[in-house]
Amino acid sequence: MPDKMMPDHWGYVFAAYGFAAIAFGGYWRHLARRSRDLLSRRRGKEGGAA
Amino acid sequence: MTAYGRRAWIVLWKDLLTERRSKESLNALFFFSLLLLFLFQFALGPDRERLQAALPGLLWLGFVLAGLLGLGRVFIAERDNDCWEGLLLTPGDKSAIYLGKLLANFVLMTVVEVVLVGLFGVFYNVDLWGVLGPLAVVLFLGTVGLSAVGTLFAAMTAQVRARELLFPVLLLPVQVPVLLATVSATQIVLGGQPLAEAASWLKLLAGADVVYLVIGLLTFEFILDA
Amino acid sequence: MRTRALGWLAGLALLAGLAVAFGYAPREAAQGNVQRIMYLHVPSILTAYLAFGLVLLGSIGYLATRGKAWDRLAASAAELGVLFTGVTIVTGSIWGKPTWGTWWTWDARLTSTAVLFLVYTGYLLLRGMVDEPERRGRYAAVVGIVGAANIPIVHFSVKWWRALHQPSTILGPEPSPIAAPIATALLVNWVAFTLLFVYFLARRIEIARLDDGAVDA
Repeated sequence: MPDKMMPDHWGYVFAAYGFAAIAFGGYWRHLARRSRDLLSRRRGKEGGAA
Repeated sequence: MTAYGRRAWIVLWKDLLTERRSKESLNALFFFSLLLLFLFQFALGPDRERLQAALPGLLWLGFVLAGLLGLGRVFIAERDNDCWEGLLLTPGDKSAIYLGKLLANFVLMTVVEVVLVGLFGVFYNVDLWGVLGPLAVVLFLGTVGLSAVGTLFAAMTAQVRARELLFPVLLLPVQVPVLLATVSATQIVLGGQPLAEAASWLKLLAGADVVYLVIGLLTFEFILDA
Repeated sequence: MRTRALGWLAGLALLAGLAVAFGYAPREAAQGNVQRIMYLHVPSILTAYLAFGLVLLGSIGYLATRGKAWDRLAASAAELGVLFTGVTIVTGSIWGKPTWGTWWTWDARLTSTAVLFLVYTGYLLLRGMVDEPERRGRYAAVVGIVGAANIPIVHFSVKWWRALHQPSTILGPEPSPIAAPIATALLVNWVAFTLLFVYFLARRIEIARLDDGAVDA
């Protein structure tokens, strides 16, 4: 049986998934913050013009 | 001679003449190559066998570093002498300017490389006479690739702040295939094997050269524009 | 609004991908559970290639038409391409530690991915250094085209270089012929990653549009 050719190494699996979650989550938050900033700046400008 | 070829020739001739009179780039590059040779020696220690094993890599590292310093000169000179406008106003196909600058860079790099190879032969006691022909083929193909992308990116970064930082950062990763191919081919050649052993590397280099040249010719006008 | 719906869809698809990767796909015979990292690694490199393809498209489009939308597409796709190659490299490295016994080997695929990462990081640095939008677009487009044309050259050179210096047998267990459930799990995760990419791209382009507008005003 080739069942136990390699031990399980769950730690590495979770590290990989954790890293991906942090990378994508971080980028998502970065995008959200930037678009919020830009939108509020634009709104502020329009408000000033009106 | 067609008008296109003439324009490229004039750019090349002008650059070579300026360089011959001022010897600005060449003098500095010769000195730089000599320095590199000493630095490699100090970094690797006096063990001759180790140095010879690392020789193909060191040689091309030297060429690439000299290229990083030298390839940008042909455009920096235009900028410093307020001749950039002149380039922009040149009538006709701008890629002729690219071709001329590329050839000027190619000549400059070839001269530096020949000197550097000679110095390596003397300092590291490598017998180069027997492999001169095959080595020239590898040098030619590698230098075309290095100059083709280098000239294109040099024209771009001449106009950008932090050029001395940006030029290597853009050029080095793109040159990885050229470096891998030339170092491997040089290793084969210096090992005394026939050039046919390196045929697949040389084909890759030739293919890469063609791709870089075509892209350079097609996109140069967008860099010079405006 | 449509972007938000896309975001939810991508989120759900990612959850489904997780469920399939851990619940449905079996423990791989040779590599064990470490192989489950592949459900991240493979989709993210495929997505990165999609991104670099879009950089090429946007670059050619910008040079041909000078439409700002093309430049925004290229810039946004390049940023995402770097993000996804980064994830590819790190997950590949984490997979490599238990499999090969080292965090990094100059494996052909890892190496060429790393080279791509460097090329497109240079692209982003260039964009950061040129302030004038029109010139930035032109310069970046040229680098985008050179970078994309270089991908096959990098691929072959690195592959031959590896074959030359080390026989591939020591690279450890190659994945056995892919079993159907594993292929399904890869497919589900690939779809999820593509959705995530499209969602990110839509938001990133929207930000670039707002940025351009702010400069124009």
